[in-house]
Amino acid sequence: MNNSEKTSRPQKKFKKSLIIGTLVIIVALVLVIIFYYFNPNLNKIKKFSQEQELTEQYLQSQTLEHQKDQYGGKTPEETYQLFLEALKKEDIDLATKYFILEKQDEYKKLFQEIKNSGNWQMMMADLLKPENQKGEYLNENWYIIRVTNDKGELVANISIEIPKGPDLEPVSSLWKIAEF
Amino acid sequence: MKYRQLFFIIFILFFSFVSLPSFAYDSKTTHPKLTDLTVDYFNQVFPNRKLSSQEKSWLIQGAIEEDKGIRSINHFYDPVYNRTYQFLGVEHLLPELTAKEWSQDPFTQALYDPSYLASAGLITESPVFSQSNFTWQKAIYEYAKGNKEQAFIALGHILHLIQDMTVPEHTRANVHIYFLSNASSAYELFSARPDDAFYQDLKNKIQKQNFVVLKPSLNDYFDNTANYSNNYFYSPDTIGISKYSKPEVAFSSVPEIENNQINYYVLGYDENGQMFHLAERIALTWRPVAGFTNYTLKSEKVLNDYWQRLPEKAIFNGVGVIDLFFKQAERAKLDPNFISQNENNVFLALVNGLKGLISGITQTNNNVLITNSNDPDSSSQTILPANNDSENNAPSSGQKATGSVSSSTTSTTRVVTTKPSTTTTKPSPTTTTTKNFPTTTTTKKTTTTTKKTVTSTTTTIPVAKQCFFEGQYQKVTSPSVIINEVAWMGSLIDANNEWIELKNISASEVDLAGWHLLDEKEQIKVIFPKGTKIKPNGFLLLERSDSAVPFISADFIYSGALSNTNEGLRLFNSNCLLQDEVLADPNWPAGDNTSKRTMERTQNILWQTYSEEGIQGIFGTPKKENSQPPLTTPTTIVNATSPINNSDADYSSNSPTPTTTKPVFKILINEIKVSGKDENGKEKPYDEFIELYNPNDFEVNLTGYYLQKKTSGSEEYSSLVPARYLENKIIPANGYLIITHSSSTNSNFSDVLISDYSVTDNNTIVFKGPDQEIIDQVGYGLAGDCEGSCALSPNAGQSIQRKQTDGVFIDTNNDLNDFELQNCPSPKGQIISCFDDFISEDLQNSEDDSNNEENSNSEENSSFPLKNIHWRPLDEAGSKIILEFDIDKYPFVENGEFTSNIYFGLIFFLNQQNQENIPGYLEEANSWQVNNLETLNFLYPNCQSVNYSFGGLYFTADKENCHSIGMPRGRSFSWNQLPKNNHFVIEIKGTNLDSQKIFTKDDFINIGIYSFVPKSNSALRLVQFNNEKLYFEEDNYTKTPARITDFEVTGNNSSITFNWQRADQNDNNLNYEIHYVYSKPGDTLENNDLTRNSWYWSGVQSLNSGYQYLQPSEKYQLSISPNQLQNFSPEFCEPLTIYFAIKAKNNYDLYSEISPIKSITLQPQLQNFSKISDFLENVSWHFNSQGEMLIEFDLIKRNVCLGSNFNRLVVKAGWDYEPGLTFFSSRASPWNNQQNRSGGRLQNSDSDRLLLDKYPPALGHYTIKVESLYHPLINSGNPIKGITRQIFQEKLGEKGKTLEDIYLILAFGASDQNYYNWFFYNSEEFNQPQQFPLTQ
Repeated sequence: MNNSEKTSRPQKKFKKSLIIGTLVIIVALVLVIIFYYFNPNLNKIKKFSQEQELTEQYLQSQTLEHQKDQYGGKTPEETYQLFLEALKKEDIDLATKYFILEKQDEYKKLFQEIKNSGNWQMMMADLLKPENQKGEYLNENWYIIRVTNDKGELVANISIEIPKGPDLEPVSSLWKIAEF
Repeated sequence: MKYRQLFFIIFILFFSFVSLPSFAYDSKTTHPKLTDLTVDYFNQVFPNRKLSSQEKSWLIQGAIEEDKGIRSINHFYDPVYNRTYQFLGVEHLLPELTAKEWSQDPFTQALYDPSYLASAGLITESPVFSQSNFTWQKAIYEYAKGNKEQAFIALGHILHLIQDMTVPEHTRANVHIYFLSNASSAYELFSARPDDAFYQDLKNKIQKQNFVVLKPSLNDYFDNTANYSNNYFYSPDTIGISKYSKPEVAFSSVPEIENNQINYYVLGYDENGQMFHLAERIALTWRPVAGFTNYTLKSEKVLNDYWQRLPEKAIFNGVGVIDLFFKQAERAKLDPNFISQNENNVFLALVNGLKGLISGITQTNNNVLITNSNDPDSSSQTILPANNDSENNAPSSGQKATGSVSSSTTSTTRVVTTKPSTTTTKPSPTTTTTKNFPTTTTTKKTTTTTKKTVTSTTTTIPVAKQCFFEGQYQKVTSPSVIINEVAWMGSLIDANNEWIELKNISASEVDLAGWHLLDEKEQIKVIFPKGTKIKPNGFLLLERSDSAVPFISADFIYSGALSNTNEGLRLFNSNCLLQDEVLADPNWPAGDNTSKRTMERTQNILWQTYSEEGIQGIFGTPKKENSQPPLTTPTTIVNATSPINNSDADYSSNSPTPTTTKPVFKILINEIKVSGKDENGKEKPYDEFIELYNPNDFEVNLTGYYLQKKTSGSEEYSSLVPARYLENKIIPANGYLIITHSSSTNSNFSDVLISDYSVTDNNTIVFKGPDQEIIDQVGYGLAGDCEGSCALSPNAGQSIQRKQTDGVFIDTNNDLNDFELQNCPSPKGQIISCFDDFISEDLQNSEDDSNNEENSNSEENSSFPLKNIHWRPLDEAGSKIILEFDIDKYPFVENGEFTSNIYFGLIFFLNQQNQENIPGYLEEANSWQVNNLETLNFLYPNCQSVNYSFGGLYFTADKENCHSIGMPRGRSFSWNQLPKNNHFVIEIKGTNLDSQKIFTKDDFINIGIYSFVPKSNSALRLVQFNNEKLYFEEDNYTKTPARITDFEVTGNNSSITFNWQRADQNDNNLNYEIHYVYSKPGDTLENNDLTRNSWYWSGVQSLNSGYQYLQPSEKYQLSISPNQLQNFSPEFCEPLTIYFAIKAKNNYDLYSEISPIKSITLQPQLQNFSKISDFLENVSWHFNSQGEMLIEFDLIKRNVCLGSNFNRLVVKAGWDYEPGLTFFSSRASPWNNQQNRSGGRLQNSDSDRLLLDKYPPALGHYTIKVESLYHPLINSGNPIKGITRQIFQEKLGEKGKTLEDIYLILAFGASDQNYYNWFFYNSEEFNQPQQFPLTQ
């Protein structure tokens, strides 16, 4: 055996190891690729994350809007009086600002409908009756005013509540009308 | 993606520490309380597996924490549409899992853990390692691992979800779920009360129950609770919308009067058929008719009714969930591979080899769903993990287990059938209600969510007993359940739409657990699971597919087809005794394949082809009576189920709970005598007996049976006849067995003598079988537990006996209905004694009383509270029929030992010959009226102010109770109209059977007094009975008062005097009414009547007092001021004629004819005004605090007769600093006489007058601001505007004068529009007008 023959053996071993190692890496890569692309859970996670992000953005924007809302009284009676004052002026936009944000559009339509039908004065007459100015607390965050007409019929069941934020704490100290 | 993940991790971290408000029970109060009650109730019904207080606290912790973070968005489940909500109204927000899915989705729950999420992309770690996984599977896994705390916390999360399913907002999709809790559940707000007292009622109610909901799977619990809240209740945005066909509205607008207000409610039915308040209506006076809701749930009455029902569902189902949990968890513990399978992950898979790797990579929820989602009855089966090798499931020896087992597993086990009664009352059917509510369809919606078909062709589940179609069988002679109808041919829509109907033709409920329905080839093999029951005359519908009968949901869905020929069906009980069969040999005995008409049973249990109309291609009567329904037969109970308090129940044991194989037969408690009486009427307390009756046509050995009793005040049963007394006692077929006390004098006919125990008043007696199951139960008197209403309470010497119809003892599960009082107890059908003293002996001689007119007005006995009772025509014409009576005081019924006079009623029985029929109780469900006997109807003012007649007179002893609280209590006599003299006169409006009835002198009444029983059935109980016949007094009418002919009127503007002769010399109870009318031009009198139209009264003055009787003229006299007449005004301008007449009125509101009409004429008195003081008082001239000059006065008179030309009222004011100022009468401008110059003027316009008001002015106080001051010599004759005191002083000072020198004079008058024509009232004093100084 000459020197050249002696030196080629380790080289061959090295080559063999390299090939095996490369093969192992390739196999591992293939496995990883299979794992990533065929694991149904990962797709689930992707979708999940996207939806979470959208939700987070929405929640943040909603929180801000509610915190900015300054329409309302420090007591439910005050909110109600402010609301009545707006109604007296037939200012529907202002009156509905004392409702919770989500319900403002709905009640704008309602009051507009009442106005268009010519029943506004009838509504005001009932709302302004002295006995209809007071309600009662059903619990510390819930105040109800039951408005009745001359016949004793219930014409409005006004629910005034403290709005709470995502942390279950009030977003402000203002009472808002939840139901009319 | 990494960025998004990071974002999400932060997001999750943030919300991990805060809670998003969910629209469900409050996490701080309601959920913990409900969980607390659930555990308590679980410990009550499963005393052998009580949860410790530590375990309870873990459950409560889990129940609270389920609302943490954003988990709550997964708490919704609409069972009708099988979906959750479009949360926040935005798409692509968060995983849209229903609560049902969420509770069993470990992977999704795991993602809520930030650390798990971070690693999930890299390592597929098992979800059990996630800190946010609180699924059902996790609970079982932790329990199997021995981590009880984690297990119970996770289970608490599940309980929270079940509780949420009882909140309608969670199961009925509101249009929006709002960001904040502002549009939150009124029900949630209502229930979020921290005070224990609020929950005490619920606690007390629950503690009295003995009821468990057992379901085979967690999904079934979700469906059960979600369907309940969805089907019977509203959420705010879903009232009346057509998307949901339920709840069923009973009445859409029922008025109830409360605190002088009329509130309108929508009433619905709950699951027990009781009506309750669904919503409150808001009146549409000024609201739009359409487009906006006019209903509210935020009404205390509505929320109370919701609260009475919903939370107990949460508790009952919660208990069942805990029970299911233990069953599955114990089994999981026994599985050696369970834990490792749940912890499987990629690394382990790599270690375990490729198979594991692949399954690890593709790890899905199924692989961590360890237990079967359906949990068959553990008593007879071994539960295997999913995908396990069926070879390991060797059946027990001797049993063949082949074929497919197909059955629906959605049944409910009602272990004890006692239903709690509620106090909600139905409004009377005559209440005016307008169903303008959106109509709801009654067509059943077929959904794919509610029924599960479980087919498994590989799983072999050994059962305790298998039946086979093949073989020779002797059919039982009196089956309780039969094959009632078979659609072997399918329907016109599809020949494969086959269905089979079973019917219970017995009088008792039948438990079908373990029964088999097989076809000949056993393709169809239905084994009914535990909890399958059919009520008497009830049906069970089995369909080959859910759409086989499109408009009715199947009770079970089976697989397999029925051949048209050479086929058969056999029904076996759980002991494989053949109950019924029908064979096609080769053809079916009935039914037609061409017309697709079904084969149905006839009255004689033969077969015929259905011949009537079809519906949607179905020519038959699925789940309805056949054309000729089979007759019912007495029943035999076979294979009663194990009771829930079976002491053998043991969750920690591997052995299944054994089912009883001993048959238990129906035996009736047939007669009960509580005590006897001797010939002197003295009570003999031990002269009692209980009679049992065997309705079967075979004898029954009573070994193992026993009797217990419960007194009215007790919660527990105590021994009455222990089993040892009945050991080896045989009760013959259709025969009796008598149990008496050993001290009884009638023990000669006794079969069993007892000496240690005794029956007493107001007991509940139960007869139980060897496994403690209740065979029969009877409650009487004021017993606490009764089947339906309690039977009447027997007096000493009496008994209560089961009634018979056509020789068959009835058992309708209503004790009041099933039992009747016997004056002659008859053990074994033999009368032993007779006592008639419950009904007076006078009634036995009723024939002699037919002409007892002299008796009709007498009192029956001194203790009867009504005196001087008469019923008769009011007047000669009989315009009304009245009842009148006197009482000594009100209330005239006292509280009894067991009754309360808070409500009491009088029933007037008409012509009731047989007094034995008089009911002992009036049930609230019947509005306290009598249905089967004729009673008088009355019209009287009641607390509801609703004007219709009732079949009785009802009263309340408590003024506060006189308000509208629904019928029948609201029909109590109006408190404010109770006669102060205690003399009642009430109009009779026919009878309950004939409202137009004409009474004659042959009609008589007897009166029963009923008083309130303050128990849950809220009946009125007979406390007193007047058995004297009171005949109709058809000639005893009240005469109308005589006409007053001598009537005179004189008077003037100050006084009017009336004189009249009394109408009836002998009647001191008459009152008089003076009627009058103001004349109009053209009025004349003809025939003592106004010609304008018929007598049109301006007013009526009722004179009950104030007039005096003048002797010796024997006339009445009354003097009044004209101002006392209604609508009289002294300011009339023309002579006023007033017509007067008088009528007499008696106590019955009968009037005499009108007297001769007389009149007086009054003269107008408005012209004699001459001085300022005739018109004005309190004149003041001063400066106010703002420095303004004012003139104030009170206008006390005015002249309204000047005519319309004068439409300005004017005050002219003059002033000066030198004396002598007067007015010109023509124009009333002041001048200074002494100096022969004009004086000053005060004015509030550019002219010289102080204007007041338009003509005629209102009387009252006036304040006029002086706008400018004029004087020819002041300020160079220029008016000074805005005069102030200082300016005035300065100007006067220039003249050498002070404020004390000045004075004011006034002229008061009216002018026309243009101030051309004047009229001054005080012109006569113009020469010397009154002077007014300027005050300081």
